Amino acid sequence: MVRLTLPPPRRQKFWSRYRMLAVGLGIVGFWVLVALFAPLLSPYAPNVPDMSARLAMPSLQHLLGTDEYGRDLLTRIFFGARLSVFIAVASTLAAIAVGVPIGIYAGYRAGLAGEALMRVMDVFLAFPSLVLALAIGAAIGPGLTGELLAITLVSVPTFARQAYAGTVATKHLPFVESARATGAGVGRLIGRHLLPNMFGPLLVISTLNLGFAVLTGASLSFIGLGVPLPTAEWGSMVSDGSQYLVSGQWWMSLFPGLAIMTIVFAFNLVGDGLRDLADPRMRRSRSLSDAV
Amino acid sequence: MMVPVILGVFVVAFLLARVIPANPALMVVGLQSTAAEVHAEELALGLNLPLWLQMWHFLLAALHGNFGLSIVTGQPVLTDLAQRFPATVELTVASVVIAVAVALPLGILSALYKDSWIDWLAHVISLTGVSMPLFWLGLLLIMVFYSALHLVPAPLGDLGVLYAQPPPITHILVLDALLEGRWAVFWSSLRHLILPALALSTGTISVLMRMLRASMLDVLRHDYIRTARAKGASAWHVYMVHTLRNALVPVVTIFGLQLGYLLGGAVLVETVFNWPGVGSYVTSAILASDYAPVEVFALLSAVLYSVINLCVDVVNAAIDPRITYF
Amino acid sequence: MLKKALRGTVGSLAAVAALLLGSVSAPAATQAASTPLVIAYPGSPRTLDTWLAYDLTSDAMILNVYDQLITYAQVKVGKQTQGTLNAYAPMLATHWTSNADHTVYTFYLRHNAKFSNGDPVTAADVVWTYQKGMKATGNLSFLATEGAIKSVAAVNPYEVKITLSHPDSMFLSIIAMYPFSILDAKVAAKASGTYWNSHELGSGPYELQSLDPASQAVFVRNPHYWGPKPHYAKVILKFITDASVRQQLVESGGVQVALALSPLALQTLARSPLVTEHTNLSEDIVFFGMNEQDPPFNNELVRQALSYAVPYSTLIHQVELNQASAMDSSVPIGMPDHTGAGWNYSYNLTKAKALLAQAGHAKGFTFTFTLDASQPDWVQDATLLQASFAKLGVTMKIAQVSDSEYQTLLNAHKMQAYIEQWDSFVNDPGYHLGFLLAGGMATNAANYSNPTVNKLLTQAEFDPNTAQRTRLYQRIQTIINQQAPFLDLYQYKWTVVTYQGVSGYVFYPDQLLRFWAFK
Repeated sequence: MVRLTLPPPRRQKFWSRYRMLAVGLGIVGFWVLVALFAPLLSPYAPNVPDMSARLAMPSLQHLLGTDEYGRDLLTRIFFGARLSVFIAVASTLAAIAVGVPIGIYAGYRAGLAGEALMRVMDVFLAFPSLVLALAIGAAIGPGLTGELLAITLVSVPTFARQAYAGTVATKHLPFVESARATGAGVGRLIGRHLLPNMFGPLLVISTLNLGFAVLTGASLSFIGLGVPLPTAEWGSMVSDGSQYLVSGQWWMSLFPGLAIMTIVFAFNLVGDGLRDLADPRMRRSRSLSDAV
Repeated sequence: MMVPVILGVFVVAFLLARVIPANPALMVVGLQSTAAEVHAEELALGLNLPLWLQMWHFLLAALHGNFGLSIVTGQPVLTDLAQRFPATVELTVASVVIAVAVALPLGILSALYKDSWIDWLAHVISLTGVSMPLFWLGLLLIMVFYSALHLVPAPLGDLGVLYAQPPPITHILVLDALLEGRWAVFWSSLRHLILPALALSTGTISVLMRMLRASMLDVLRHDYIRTARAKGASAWHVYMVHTLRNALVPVVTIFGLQLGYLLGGAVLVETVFNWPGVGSYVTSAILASDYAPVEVFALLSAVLYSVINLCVDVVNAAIDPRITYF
Repeated sequence: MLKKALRGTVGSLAAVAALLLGSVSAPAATQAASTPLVIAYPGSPRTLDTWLAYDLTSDAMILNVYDQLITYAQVKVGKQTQGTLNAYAPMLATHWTSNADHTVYTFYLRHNAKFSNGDPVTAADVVWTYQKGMKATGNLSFLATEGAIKSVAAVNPYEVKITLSHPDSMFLSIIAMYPFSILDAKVAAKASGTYWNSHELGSGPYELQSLDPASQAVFVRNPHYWGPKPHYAKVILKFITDASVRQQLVESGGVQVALALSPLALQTLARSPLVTEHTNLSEDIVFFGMNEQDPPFNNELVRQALSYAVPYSTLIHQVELNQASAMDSSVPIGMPDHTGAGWNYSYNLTKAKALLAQAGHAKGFTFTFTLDASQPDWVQDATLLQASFAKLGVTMKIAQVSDSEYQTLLNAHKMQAYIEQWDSFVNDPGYHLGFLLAGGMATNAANYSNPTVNKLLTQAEFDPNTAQRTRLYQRIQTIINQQAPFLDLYQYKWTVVTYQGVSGYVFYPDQLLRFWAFK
């Protein structure tokens, strides 16, 4: 006889975690492939107007319809994937490259300079992330540079904090102390002991940050701080389409937004899954509370 | 702790405003002005001074509540913001109300029925909520409930065009209409409020639900719950009184963090719905390269955010005496 | 100052004769409408300061609250009554005279004019307004210089004498413009700083009852107004940035008048039986400017080649959805002395290629185009031009900048190519070309400079002979049109939409609504 209050079998839970991770990885993989092979996937060019096919409904010729220049929407979504994936990866890598050294330095050399650096990170964290990204984007002006810089700067403090916490937590652990005692250099200490120990958490927040970056980038370009014409970008495609929403051309906004949602959803799924695998108790993340 | 951060926030906001490539003096005097007029305005605005001195002037002026003029409206930025702030408060509070109403039952249920289909569904809902671009969700809602079903009025601000604003008591439109018994105005403003509030609430729903679930699971594991059950307290009593109260501590914390999210989200949602709050004001300022409003908005949100988080700590300390921050 | 602001007035040749036409202006209203007239405007007023205002909303809000010395008359064009900028009607001045060489004008003020606070309007107010305004930065001083105003003096409380530095054909049309609104000297002298940004006090048909820049402005009749009572007791301006929302509102009768609608909205509305579209050709032109100081655009063959690569009819029919009209000169159709001579361009890629080869760019070239993305149709124009130029091997890189950065670059003459709009403040080809294409002008962002054109422009400006001036301006246009300093994309139409039951709309080429005209 089975008691009703018994927790479900562990095996089943384990699989559902994996399943979510797999689904997430699958969607991310799909978009990465689309981004890589965009030119091969469609007979249309993303940026060549065809005014005779203006604002066409989804049909067999244009599976997702066309925009106000008669450009094929599906093609533009494919090409938009390139940009979104690029922005997500580039800004996250840049944020890691800046944030992690800051955090490790501040954590390892608990001096005035390190302290000051972390206070600067606090200043950036004091701004709501999208507000800060908008302010930076507006100051620099529309374009890829501004967009990347805004997203990167907003993401840096998260990585710095994580690296800082990881460093402080590990640097007094016995094995680190003993490595230091046996005369390991700082570089070796960081490379061999500190970094591997924080790899898991960093991987998790990096994945979540990918989703955050896509959303922030889309929001910036929706407001009008995106990349120059005629580049296909999901956020600005939604924005362009919004002008035609009331007049009945719903597809122009719907599909690019759906693309944004699926890729962010997938990144979050992967991030969640990785987090559960890495450390079931590490729950809170900035991306969840701050993503837009 | 907070003062240096806020000072830092000032510096960041000031420096951002100086990055902008447009010449503010030219914007003030207009394009047909002569070089001499532009130069005179540059002097008047203090643009020739060293950067640190300009920063000092900015700080002094800010302490006196003078944040400069908006190029678009020609009014002091603070006046503009004050005028639009109640609408944003209304929208934000409404979205939190919706969020609590949805997240509370879902969070509790998914904790109690952990790993069941309800839990799974709640998880997917919460993931979807944080994965959707807010501006797109807003457009979708307009498409469905306005363009297709005609259930709500046009996404145009907070009140039907033909209604007069009621005399302000609280400055919160829905509340004022209610207090003064203007039912038509109340109904119209409520119908305008529902979609943007719904759009803005999704992120909060997700986070709130997850936090509630996690902290309830945490509390359920503790011995005193088992003790309470063993002592014969009813299940309902245990869940509602012991569990929920203890689970509320991290949830209050999350509200502090959510404020930042809501302010950012308000920019997008208000833009989509033409909501007359600070968010749409900031968007139009960005598009016009009117930097003063953007700067002040960023500054005030950071300050507000820091203050609210401080309050959250104090509230938490009050709920749970074990927590000390001082 | 340039984009929205420079709207036209005709340098009139027959100002005094216009008196005859002048009496049409204010319509008699017999029945008071109990429901307010609600008008949807695209933006809130940036400033109601009469000297600084220069946007569509502010200008209209000023024009309906204040009086000027004289105003523009109405004429019959076919069956339609419309405003004209080259004939004048009495306003605060019941009549005016000038000396033989038109350098001294005397204006005789009506005795019954009062500001909405009850103060009488006297010569002192006029003199104060003009003198203060001419010393302050703003449109009044700028225009006073254009109109050659030297001094203003009160002869007696109801007589004002204005002296010009030389006879100027633009003088009367200039003082009828809104920056010359007469202020209440007693109040204005005391008010300081930014007070007039959000307040109004005039002697016109309406007074501003309340202003909420975020949503609306409410006007009520000025109880002291000297003229006929306007039909609507209350006029509400709704500030609605989203064009599709303005469309929805006028379609459903939520507002009775809507303007500055997108071409798409107008196309949709044309199908609605409940609304009427009133369309007139404006003098607001859109052109593609090229920096003529540097290669490749210093070569006129290149500019001509690109002129043959503009898909004119696509821009007009597909982007503007017929809310624009083709141009055939850098001077807009409708402006005095306009001619299409020398302008032979059409969409012809073969010709474009040939010209490009002749210019030594057979393989094309690459240039950077700066886009002010605040205008959705320019974004579309740029996208289509980019695609069309690509067929010639010409790569157009688009750099999108914010509005104020664009203005800064425009002012610095630093852009290689750009799209710009121009609506001349004064409706005169000398003014128009003088600002846009005279060598060395601050507003000549294309850096076009042709010594012959420069010489002829100066010659025309000081030529008192009308016929001779016309000949000169037409010669200038022929040269300019051939040299193609701009790609002349199109000229906007101006459409106001009214809901059923509302009539009386009168088109004025300055595109400003006269609320009192509505019935």
